[in-house]
Amino acid sequence: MADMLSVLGMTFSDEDRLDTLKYRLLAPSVDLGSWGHEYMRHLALEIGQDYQKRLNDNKDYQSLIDLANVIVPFFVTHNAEADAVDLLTELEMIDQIPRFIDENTYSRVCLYMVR
Amino acid sequence: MVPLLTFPDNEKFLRTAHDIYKKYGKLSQAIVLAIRLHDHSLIIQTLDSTTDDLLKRQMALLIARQKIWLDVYDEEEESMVACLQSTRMTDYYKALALELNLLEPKSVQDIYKSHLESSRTAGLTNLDSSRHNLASSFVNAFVNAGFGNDKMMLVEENQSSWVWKTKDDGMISAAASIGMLQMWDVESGLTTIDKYSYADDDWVKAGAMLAVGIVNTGVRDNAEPAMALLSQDMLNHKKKEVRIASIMGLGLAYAGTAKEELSELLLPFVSDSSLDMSISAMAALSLGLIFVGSSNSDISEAIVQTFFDEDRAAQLKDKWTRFMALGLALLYFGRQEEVDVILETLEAIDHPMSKASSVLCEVCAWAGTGSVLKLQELLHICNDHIEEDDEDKKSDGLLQAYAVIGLSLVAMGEDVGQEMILRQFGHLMHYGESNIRRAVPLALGLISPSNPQMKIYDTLSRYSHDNDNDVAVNAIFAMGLVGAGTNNARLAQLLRQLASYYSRDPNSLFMVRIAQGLLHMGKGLLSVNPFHTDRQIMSRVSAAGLLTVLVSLIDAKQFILADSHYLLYFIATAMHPRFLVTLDENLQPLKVNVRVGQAVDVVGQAGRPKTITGWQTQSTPVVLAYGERAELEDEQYLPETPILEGLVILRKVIIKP
Repeated sequence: MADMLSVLGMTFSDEDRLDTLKYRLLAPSVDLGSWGHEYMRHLALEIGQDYQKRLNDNKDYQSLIDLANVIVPFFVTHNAEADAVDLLTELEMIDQIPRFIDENTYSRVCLYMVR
Repeated sequence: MVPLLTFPDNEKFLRTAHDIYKKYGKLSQAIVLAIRLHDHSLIIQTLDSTTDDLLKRQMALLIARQKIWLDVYDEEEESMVACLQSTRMTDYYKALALELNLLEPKSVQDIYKSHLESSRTAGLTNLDSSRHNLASSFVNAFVNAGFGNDKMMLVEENQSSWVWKTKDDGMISAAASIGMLQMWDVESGLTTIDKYSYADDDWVKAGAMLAVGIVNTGVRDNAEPAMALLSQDMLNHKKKEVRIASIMGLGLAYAGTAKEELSELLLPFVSDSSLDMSISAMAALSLGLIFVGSSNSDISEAIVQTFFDEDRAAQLKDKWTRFMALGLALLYFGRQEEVDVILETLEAIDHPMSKASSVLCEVCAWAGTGSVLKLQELLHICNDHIEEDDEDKKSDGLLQAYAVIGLSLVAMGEDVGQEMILRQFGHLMHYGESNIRRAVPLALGLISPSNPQMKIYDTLSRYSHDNDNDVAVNAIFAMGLVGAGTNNARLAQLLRQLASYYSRDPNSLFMVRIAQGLLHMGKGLLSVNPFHTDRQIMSRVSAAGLLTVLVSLIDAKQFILADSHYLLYFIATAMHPRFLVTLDENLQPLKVNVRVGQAVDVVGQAGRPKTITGWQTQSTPVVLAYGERAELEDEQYLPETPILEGLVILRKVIIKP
């Protein structure tokens, strides 16, 4: 149920209600990538926004990081290195990126990072 | 630094990317990033993390291109040291010239092409003869730079005759031009200069000292010839000019090396308040060049101390003081936040110069970052209207001029910011005071050196007919700078027109000649653009050299057009061949086919797109224009670095059966 609401939140939600993220965190499912690329990007966007918000309110953001740890490998393996790097930058953990990449993807990641 | 990212993100990005490259064994890419970080220990660490000799040499070549001084190898590892010290630069450069059939020296007349100027004025160009000869010696030096032969200075039968065709201070520049002709060729260069350094005439002696410095620019020798020749007795020579020239020579020879001995040698000149301001300022400037971007605290303290010094108070109004400030600023080149300490100190000084100096420090610290906030601050400074009767007017005028030049220094190397700045310059030119208008052409020149873009030189050519002669003179120089070393035919045509237009004005004509010399610099094989290695790294040494020349041009009539034209030789630090030479495993030039074409931005594109477009196949060594990239055609070899630029070592591919 929460899964469905989360996906619908992408099209239906107002600017800062962050529905997609809210229901995603409530849902137990694991295979996020099956909801498609657009969904992942939307999720990444909302993570970035929510991270800033939680940081300002001094709230716990570990759940966001956990979620990011799922999303980033998806991006990296689906030719969206730019999005992966951007998400990690938003979460101020760019130094974690070596964990996510391998010899097929590193050159593109690095190219994006230094330019 | 990474464009469009703020501190400390940019550094974190580079370090992470560096670690990734290192992890996957792409050390030549890793070292490029380490150089960008300007972190010596990281560079050494990366360099030492391989045992592969070829790869190590390639990395050394990359380090040498940035003119970073590393003293980590014993003399036994001769070829490694040779790579690090770019000792063989002159050989490669001459090999390129040989390949392109450019060894034949060009005479000054080949450059002026006076017969193409309109005939009405043709006979009148010799109005100010010694001035004309001086211009010719500069042009000759620029055009034949590094080739070691020419048709004027180094001709056997009437040796040293040309030097005597110039007067007094002109002899300094004329003699110094020998240095530029033999640039990078330490051994034979010094032999030629030797004759002049024992000349009876002090002016010639001063020129010879400068020549020694220029010969050693960018190359090093374990015997430290520059240090030996320019040492104590020349530094303490009774004649002021000899001292200035020796100090400047040291600055040129050791630019970017951060060699401790030199700070011991030169610091006394900065702090001794009984000396003339010009000597102290030149010492400060040379130290700035030598320790560029090191934020060396001893030197910055010494310079700041002179600003506080009571005995100096009267001297601080001297025109040379600006170079003292520039020396201080260069120390913080590219250091970003670190400059704040010095800015605060400068604020405490109650002197009109302090404001201008702090702007200078700030723009140096943020050079090449494209930081929008800094650009806004600088535009704000230009916005202030200066009251005519204000007694601090002079230094405030300087302040705004620095701000204008700073705009392009900060925006350099970042395309979008550059575009926006060009628009702002248009506004400044329309609405600015004369002091701002004078600096705008210089800034336009700085923003794309050795990269003649139509929109920039069209604008400059319009300003070169400005009513304010200072604007015109600076615009002419800037035209030379944007075209430096390109042989651009349109610019050459424009400059010839200017030569006939200004044939009655010795100052402007002098500058036109200089610009013509710059345009044909090294017969089109050199570049003064501070960005190298696929426009990723900004060379601090080159940028500092360019900045020094431009600062001296803010008041061209007091320096370059008066008796201090030798300051133009600071451009030597920025001069570098824009070649691609492929080397075999013994570091000998190797002929292979490469595709040369316009570089394409492939960042973030899907798949494996081509990195160049509209290519032509040529055989190395080749000359690369700004924004061009090369690819190996031959699959028998693998380059040690993916960026084919400058000196590249090729490794033969061993096909396994």
